[in-house]
Amino acid sequence: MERPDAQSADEIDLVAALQAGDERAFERLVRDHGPRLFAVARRMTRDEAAAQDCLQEAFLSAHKAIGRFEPHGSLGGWLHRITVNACLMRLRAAKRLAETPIDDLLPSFSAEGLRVGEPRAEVRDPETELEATRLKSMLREKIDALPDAYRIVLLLRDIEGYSTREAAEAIGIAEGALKVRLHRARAALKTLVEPLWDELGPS
Amino acid sequence: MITRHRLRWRIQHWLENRVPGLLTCAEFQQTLDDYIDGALGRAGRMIVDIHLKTCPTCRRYMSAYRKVRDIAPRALDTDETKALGEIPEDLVLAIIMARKAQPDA
Ligand SMILES: [Zn+2]
Repeated sequence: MERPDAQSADEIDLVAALQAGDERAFERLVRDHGPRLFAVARRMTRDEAAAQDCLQEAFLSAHKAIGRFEPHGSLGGWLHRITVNACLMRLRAAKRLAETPIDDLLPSFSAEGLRVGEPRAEVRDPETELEATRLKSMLREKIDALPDAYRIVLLLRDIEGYSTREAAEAIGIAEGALKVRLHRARAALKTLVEPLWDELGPS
Repeated sequence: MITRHRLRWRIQHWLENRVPGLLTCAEFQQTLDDYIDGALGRAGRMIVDIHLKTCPTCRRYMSAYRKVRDIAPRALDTDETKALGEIPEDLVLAIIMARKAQPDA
């Protein structure tokens, strides 16, 4: 995951220099951590210009908050959270975090609560490396097609290494609501992916 | 051999008679992640197991759901999405300039 936990002696020196307001140390921070954090901002915003803005905001927030950085924590993990928060703030401001209805992508049930309208075929496991790669890229495409409110929950839980509680706090919803949203994201993904699954085969 | 139709009929019959502890497919759906995560207690797990034993549709659903759930993190975690080592020099310079324009921490 994205959170290196150990803090090296080198990092302790870097933090001390940052706290002393050293400009070269700040540049080193940007050069060392920038590429990884830029990737975080890009996958969260899916927008090059927005990702650049978020990264800049994140480093400025880090600069302002470095005095409060706990020396026993991980600098990488701390910066990662700041970057995720900067992206979330931007998505929220653009109203991209509000839950939109995706009922047509969720499973349907009869009035008695019986499952209806499910495909009958079993999905196969990929048999070759190529098939697995195709499956992953098709899945990524479909994740990108999800509304942001669902896509971001998947990202936080599956990629950014957030726990349910951390993700709920970051987005500003209750833990139960987050679990429901994560489940809907996965169920929607299944609906989108399943019809294409069999086309990945060797035929 | 229990046919799909008979099974459906039987489940419907059970549901209408409110057999205690019997889950509907809709209720099963709500417990799915907790079940896969092993977060249900013994009793909860047993109730879900009974549903899975009696409901091939949910069994199939779970199998597909689980595959999608498992592959999603790997689909997102690629070199492409990480784009390691790539950050425009313009951006690095812009960030450094922006920091200079700020009062010191
Ligand atoms: Zn069922």
